[in-house]
Amino acid sequence: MTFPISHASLPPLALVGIGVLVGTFGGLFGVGGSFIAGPMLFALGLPMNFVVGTDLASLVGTGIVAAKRHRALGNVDVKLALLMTVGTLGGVELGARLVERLVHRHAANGVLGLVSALVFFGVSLAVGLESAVAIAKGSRDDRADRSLAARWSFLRLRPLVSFPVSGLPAISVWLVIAVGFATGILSGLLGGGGGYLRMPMLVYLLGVPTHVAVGTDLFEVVLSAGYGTVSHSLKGNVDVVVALALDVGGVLGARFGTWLVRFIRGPWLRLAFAPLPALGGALLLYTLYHHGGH
Amino acid sequence: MVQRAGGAGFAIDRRPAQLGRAVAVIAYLALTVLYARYGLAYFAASLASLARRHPLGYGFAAVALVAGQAIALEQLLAALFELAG
Repeated sequence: MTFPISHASLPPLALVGIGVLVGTFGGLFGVGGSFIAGPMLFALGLPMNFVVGTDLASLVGTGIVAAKRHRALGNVDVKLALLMTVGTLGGVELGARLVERLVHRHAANGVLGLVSALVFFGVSLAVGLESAVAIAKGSRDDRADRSLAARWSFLRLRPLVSFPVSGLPAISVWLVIAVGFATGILSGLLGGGGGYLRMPMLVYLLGVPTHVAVGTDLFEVVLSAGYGTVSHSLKGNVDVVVALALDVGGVLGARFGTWLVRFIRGPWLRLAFAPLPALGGALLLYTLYHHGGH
Repeated sequence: MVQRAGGAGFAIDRRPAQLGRAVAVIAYLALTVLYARYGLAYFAASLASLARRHPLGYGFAAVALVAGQAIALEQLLAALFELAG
């Protein structure tokens, strides 16, 4: 089938299949799944600029369903998500401007590809090690051992704010905005919702319980992906018909993922998440190797 | 099927709600088939035209469409699961 907005010829059933995979990851781990969907859409023949914009659009749909279900389970800290969004939107804009500079210097693919692969491998290693140690200690706790915010007192910059849903009595507003800003930069630079970084940062830096981190991340992804969709539409990078096809599978997958999350507890959930960013990094390096860095 | 709410002391007949939901699901599926056969190409062409002429409006329409479709599909799935018991 030829899609008239991107003029790409893509098999609709393959789009639905990718949607199922991405939706399952979204429901299970609270990530958008862009590190898997992006390379797959590119391999099917969707131009790279449409991959970034269209993937963001489909994230709005899958994210909204998964976030709704997590909210029903009490896993969404709306106050935390809204405060993070302040930082995220600023970060997205900064990231998008950095991309423009790299594009002007004809270095976008090589630099962005290598940076994101390094980030993906780093996240995988850190999450994998921490969760493996927690499992070895026999911990069934939904929280990481001790958050960095609790360990390092210099992170307690005023004003402090409490997040009862996450069980955080007093935490720096600046730290929360910084988490949003950092993930926003990556989202603007590399596309996707940035959940592969936000989810571990919520758990390890702020000390949010894993299940609340998953739900809150999804809620935040909906807001930042919505903003990104409008922004990329202005640049002609969104094929909404492809996004709608992806979301048919995505809704099914999200339902399956949020059902599955009940059976996998704290450290095991983090361990199951660990290899996924590395997989995305490997796919990216493979694509770069075959399509070149320019 | 009449189900009794535990401890509340009154009966709730759920048949009308289930029948209504079944009709809604069948109507939704029939409309989807008709739309895929006759309306999808026209719909996609209209969106392509909107994207060229009014990119900002297209952006907001894109967000509304993906969000609306996702919520409608989720409701449909929930109804199907409930009907399946």
